[in-house]
Amino acid sequence: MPAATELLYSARDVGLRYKGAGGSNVEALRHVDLDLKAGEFVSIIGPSGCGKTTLLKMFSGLITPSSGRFQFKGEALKEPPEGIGMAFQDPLLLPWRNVIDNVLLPIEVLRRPRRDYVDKALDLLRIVGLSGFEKKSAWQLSGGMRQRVNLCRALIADPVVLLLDEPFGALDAFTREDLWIVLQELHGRTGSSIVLITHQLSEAVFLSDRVLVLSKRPGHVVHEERIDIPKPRMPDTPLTPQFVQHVGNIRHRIER
Amino acid sequence: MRFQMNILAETALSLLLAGVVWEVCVRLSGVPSYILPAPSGVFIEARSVLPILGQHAWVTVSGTLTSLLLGAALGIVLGILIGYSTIASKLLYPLLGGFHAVPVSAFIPIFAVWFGIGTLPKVLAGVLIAFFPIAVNVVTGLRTIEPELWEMMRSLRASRIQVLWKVGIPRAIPYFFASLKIAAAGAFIGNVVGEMIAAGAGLGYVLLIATNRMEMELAFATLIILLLLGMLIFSAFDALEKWIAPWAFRSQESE
Repeated sequence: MPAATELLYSARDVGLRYKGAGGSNVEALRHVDLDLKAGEFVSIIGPSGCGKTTLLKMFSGLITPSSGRFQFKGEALKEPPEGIGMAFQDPLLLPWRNVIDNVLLPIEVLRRPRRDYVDKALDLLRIVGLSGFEKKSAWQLSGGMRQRVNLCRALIADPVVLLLDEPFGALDAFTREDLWIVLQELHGRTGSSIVLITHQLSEAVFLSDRVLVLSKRPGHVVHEERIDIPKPRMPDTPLTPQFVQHVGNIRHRIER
Repeated sequence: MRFQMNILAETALSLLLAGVVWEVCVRLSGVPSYILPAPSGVFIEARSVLPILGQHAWVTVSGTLTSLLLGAALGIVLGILIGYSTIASKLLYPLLGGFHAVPVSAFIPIFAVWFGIGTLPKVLAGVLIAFFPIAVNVVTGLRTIEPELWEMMRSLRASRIQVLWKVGIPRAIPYFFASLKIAAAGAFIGNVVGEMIAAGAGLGYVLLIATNRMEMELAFATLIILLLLGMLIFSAFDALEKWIAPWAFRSQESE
């Protein structure tokens, strides 16, 4: 696990403009300043269309900013760097592969020896509560199970940073809260940094070390909430006054 | 299995009913048999020439399977090329549409000049019809990869070839098999039409000769065999599709 002080990402005065539909200029981000330390769990929250997903793509190196300085490990990102894991709201499992082959997909893409990672895949599946499911087909799983497999796939190649775009958005409340615990466990064990895009205030507070609130478009960071509730957080943590206070602070800062 | 038996029984019943209606209409109206023969007459004729019809049917079926094999190969290659490469897509896709829009019977006389009367012109006609749905479906399978899946693969620094190999091609397989039954029917049509224009054997050829001689019992017997063969070919490839790519059906069920 890297030293907790190592700076992974830093953004200074980052802006992003692109040509939208019909040739109109869209300014998605303006004056974004933020840092992400190794091992940190940071959530990004904000009104719809504020550029959260755009910002996440910038973290992944899929898009580069039009202005400002955006660095990963001290260097500007021009393409996806090594060590990125991604998961979206749609689990996007490959239906022709069984569970473990889905989890091992990144290993194949990275041309690493598959046999070195089978034990790790089984271990991840155990942590997310899917022991014994490794040979099941993707289509035999429920939505919550698919999302668990998706998380394992995103983590199999030991990513330095895990980028999550509303991964629990399509799940029911109970499944979602189960997966908070699972994700917290995965974060604790892997030591990867995690950036989570979410609409859900309690989700952000439950999981994060810091919550960044983005403004309306063009998005920039209007508030940073440090969550100092000790980890691991428990299923009844959301009922504590401290938790409610954090949620209240963030809610207060979100523009509508 | 019981479900399939039901379908067989229902099909047989509806065919039997159509036969009875046909027979009654012909007898009541007194239409001469050189215009519209009664099914009983067709059946008697078919039984007397069945061995010969069988030989011609084999010519048609083997030609159809050859066309399908070549058409599938051509369709897969073109489909992958067009689905993968933007340049190939711009150059080839409109041409493909053009080839498909021209009636295949327009090509057959030219093939006959090049290759002579016989097997090759009709097999090529079958290929011309069969490759198109396969190419188009493979292209669709490759082009409808979810954007997020692309992003995930790119964030792993996957090459385009890797995305094609790991995601694109497996994803296109159900599309390929869905088009295979359409292509099989197309190969069959190409062969029968080819046999009517430039061949010396096959059910299409028999149909042409029979109508030239006004032997309508034989013409109808041939037509009915064509119909049955068409149904057989379509159902066989339909069953193959469900057997090869079960996930494409089951994942829809679980949604």
